[in-house]
Amino acid sequence: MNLSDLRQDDLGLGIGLRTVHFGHILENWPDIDWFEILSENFMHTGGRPMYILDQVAERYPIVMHGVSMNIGSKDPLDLEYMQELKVLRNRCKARFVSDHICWTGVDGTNLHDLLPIPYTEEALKVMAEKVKQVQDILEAPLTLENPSTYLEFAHSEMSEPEFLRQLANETGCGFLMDVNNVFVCASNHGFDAKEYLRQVPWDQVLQFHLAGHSTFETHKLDTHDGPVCDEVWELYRLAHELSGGRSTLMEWDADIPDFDAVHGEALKAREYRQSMSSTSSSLEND
Amino acid sequence: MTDPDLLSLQRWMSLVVQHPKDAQAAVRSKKAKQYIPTGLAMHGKVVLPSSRMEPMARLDVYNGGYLSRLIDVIRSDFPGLIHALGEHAFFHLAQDYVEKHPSQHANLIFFAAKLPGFIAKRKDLPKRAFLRDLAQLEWFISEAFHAPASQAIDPASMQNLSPEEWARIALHCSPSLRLLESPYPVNGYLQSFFDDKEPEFPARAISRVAIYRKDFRVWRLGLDKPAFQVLSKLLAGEAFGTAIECAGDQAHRIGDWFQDWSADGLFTGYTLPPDSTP
Ligand SMILES: [Fe+2]
Repeated sequence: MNLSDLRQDDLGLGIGLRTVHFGHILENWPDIDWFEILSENFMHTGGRPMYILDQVAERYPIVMHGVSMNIGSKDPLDLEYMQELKVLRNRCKARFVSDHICWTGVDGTNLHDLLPIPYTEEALKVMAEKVKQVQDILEAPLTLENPSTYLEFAHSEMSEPEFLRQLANETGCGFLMDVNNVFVCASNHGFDAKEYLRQVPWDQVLQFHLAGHSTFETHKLDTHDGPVCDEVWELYRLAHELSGGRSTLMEWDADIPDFDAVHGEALKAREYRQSMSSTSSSLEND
Repeated sequence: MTDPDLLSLQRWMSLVVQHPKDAQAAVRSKKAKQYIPTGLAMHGKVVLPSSRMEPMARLDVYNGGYLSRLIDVIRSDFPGLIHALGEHAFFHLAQDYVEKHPSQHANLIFFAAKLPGFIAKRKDLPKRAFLRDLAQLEWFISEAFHAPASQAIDPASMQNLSPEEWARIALHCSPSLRLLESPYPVNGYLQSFFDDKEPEFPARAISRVAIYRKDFRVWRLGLDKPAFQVLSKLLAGEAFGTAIECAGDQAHRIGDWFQDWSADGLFTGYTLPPDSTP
């Protein structure tokens, strides 16, 4: 599967497959376009979660989203992790495999956090080498998500969209554009979120994330514990116009309400997707 | 100074994230200074300030989340231990554990594996032999939950074994099966806790328990000494004939044990080694 095939594959509106919804899903087989799984929750485990996943994967498209690839670290790629990941991908026939533009640890330690990388030539080279290695193992493009970050490094040499562009040029990888993360970062770092979106290499983008966040006096935190705010919906409208439409996922990972509430929040995206045709023609006329 | 290379930056930030106090204490530490001079870090030469946050406050977002995230992982696996220790002592134990045994695995499910051994070495803990075994029991429950799936043996497949062959077979046990023997009634304690009975530290009384998963649920089965010894030998891969010798004068119960344990999915198959008698 190459990137342009994957790009055509707009799966529609999905939500994360979460333990609290297992019972509801098994009883109702709800009418939903697709599910995203947190890869690590189904790795190194052989109990009920795998039994559920096998059944869900028979009925719905699955996308895998991981947090431990550590792609931006100076550490070498964890090959054992990659093999497990590939086994899971093959088992659930995941359409995409994604992780984050970040590092999670160095010298063998995993800090289990999505840590920011400096946007430098050196980091680009390190990451590009590892992305190529991952893609050789998976025999498919890797998809990488823009993370929420809470600091910027003084020695960064380029903007995040420029880093994405160069990484894509080097590796042909795909991107998962988390619109909420763009909003959180824009607020934390003081840049223009719309301008960021206009600079994204859209041909490489395969998927969107939407989520809620928390606002503190000094910064915003990507908490995935509530509905999407109006500003993020407006950014999604723009992102949808610029991309032409991609698979979209509502992330809800803390204080998770019932299935219908999470799904209902995902379905709100319809409004913004449907409004595209009228708005995009007006953009063309600009 | 030139800009930090990626490895130095990541080693430095790793220290900052893991520091038990905060980012400022971390960047002043001897270890962190090896990678980045404190002055540069404090004055925005490494991490930029934002309009509302100084560099150290921005680093604290990462430092603050680290400990609570990992303690929450331990918390979810050891509810009984938390009850036995009390919240305050548990927090300090977990904090020390996070510091001494940072996660080395991509998957957090393995993070607390060394906690029972860590407790065993903590001379400051009262009744640490009990606490260690309670933690071991809770860890075995977690392991059984995640163990690979397996298919229980069909007893019909063993119908044609001769008594002599029965003596030689080695049974394959469920990958979820764990056995625990303790000088304390840890399983009874945990059950009381689950039943909201607020158990106190128990008096010494040897207990033996098998932990395994059946139908996606983890079960704990109390065993007496002969049953425990037979099952231990079977789990160690010893021949059925050798294992049942431990039963001593309880040998008449072996048929019932085998039936019950098979029904619970404790056995998944067997190997019949070639007959080596001349
Ligand atoms: Fe996301």
